[in-house]
Amino acid sequence: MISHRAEWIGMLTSVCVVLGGLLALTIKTQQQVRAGVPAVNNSVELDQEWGVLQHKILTLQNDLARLRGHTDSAPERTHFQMLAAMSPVVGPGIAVTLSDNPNIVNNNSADSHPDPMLSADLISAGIIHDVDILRVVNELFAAGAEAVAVNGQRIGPRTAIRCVGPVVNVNQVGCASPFKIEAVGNPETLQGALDLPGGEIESLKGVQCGVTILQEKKLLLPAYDGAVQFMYAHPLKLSRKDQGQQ
Amino acid sequence: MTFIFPILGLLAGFFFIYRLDVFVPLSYASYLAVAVLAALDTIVGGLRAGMERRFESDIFFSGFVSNTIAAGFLAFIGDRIGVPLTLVATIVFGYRIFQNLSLIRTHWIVARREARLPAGDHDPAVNNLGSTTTRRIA
Repeated sequence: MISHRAEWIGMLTSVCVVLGGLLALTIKTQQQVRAGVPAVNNSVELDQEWGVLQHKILTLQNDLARLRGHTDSAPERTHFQMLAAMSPVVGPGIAVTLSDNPNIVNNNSADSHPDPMLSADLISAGIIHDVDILRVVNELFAAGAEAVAVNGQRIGPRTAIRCVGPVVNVNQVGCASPFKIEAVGNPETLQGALDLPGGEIESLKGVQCGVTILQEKKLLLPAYDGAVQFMYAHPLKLSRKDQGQQ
Repeated sequence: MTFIFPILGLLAGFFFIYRLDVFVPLSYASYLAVAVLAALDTIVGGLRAGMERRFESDIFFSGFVSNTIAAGFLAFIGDRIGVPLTLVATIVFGYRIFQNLSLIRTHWIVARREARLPAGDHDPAVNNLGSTTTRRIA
């Protein structure tokens, strides 16, 4: 019986070692499943890559600025740069700040119970969406704004303003409420355009969104910071005949 | 307490693999879990067989290897043919583990009761258990 017991315990021990290993492997794998490790790894890598590329952009921009300073100084180039929003500009204008309805934002916070009187539609209406920003920007351009920026992102020829989850992307950069829209132009005209009855600002105030409009003597808007590469569009070379027809 | 050896072995195996930089592809995670369940079932079965003094190491070891591999493989095949064999294995092995654990507990309590009784005065439960329990098929 002693030998039977010794055999039994010995066998159990050796098999338990294997089971322990299998258990460890399973637990490690399940931890990975729960943590979603591949995605995390990927985001860290992408973050590093973004940092490297951002550094490269800065270096190249510095080089470009230095070389341009050496080569030409045609006033025409400055004009085109301003048209394409490729140079920072200074001038008078207005600063519009749009923020979500504070009652709705507080209601959605984790530590308070949501007000049952608030319907999903009302909550949605109290949040600043991409279309709200687009309408205000459009109104400003319609009123003669010469340069517009949203949260420090200059509106250029290839700017898109679009909701992406809880944020609004402007030039592919995420922005969140409060949105500060700055426009260079005649401050009186711009303010008048926004105060138009039935306009976007009035409807935003109607759903208790925070709206402030300030006239500024001097606004500084940065240069356009979005895509500058052309992959599909090429300049059309006009022959002498074509030019004559036009 | 001789059962310290299996427990130490379990811990040794666990920490050896846990510290090692070995991983299983995430798509195979569920098959591995079923295999672990099969291994656990075999060990609990072996524990019970030993308490019934019917333990045979060749049956036990072959059962451990074949059950573990077969469980993982069947779960894999089940996924390929769209039958949730993982679920079946979980239920069967889970059921057997609980059943064997309760038998182990009964054996242990009976053995303790027997040890306390004076010699010759045997508890009838021992004989009953010994005769009625079916032979283990590992």
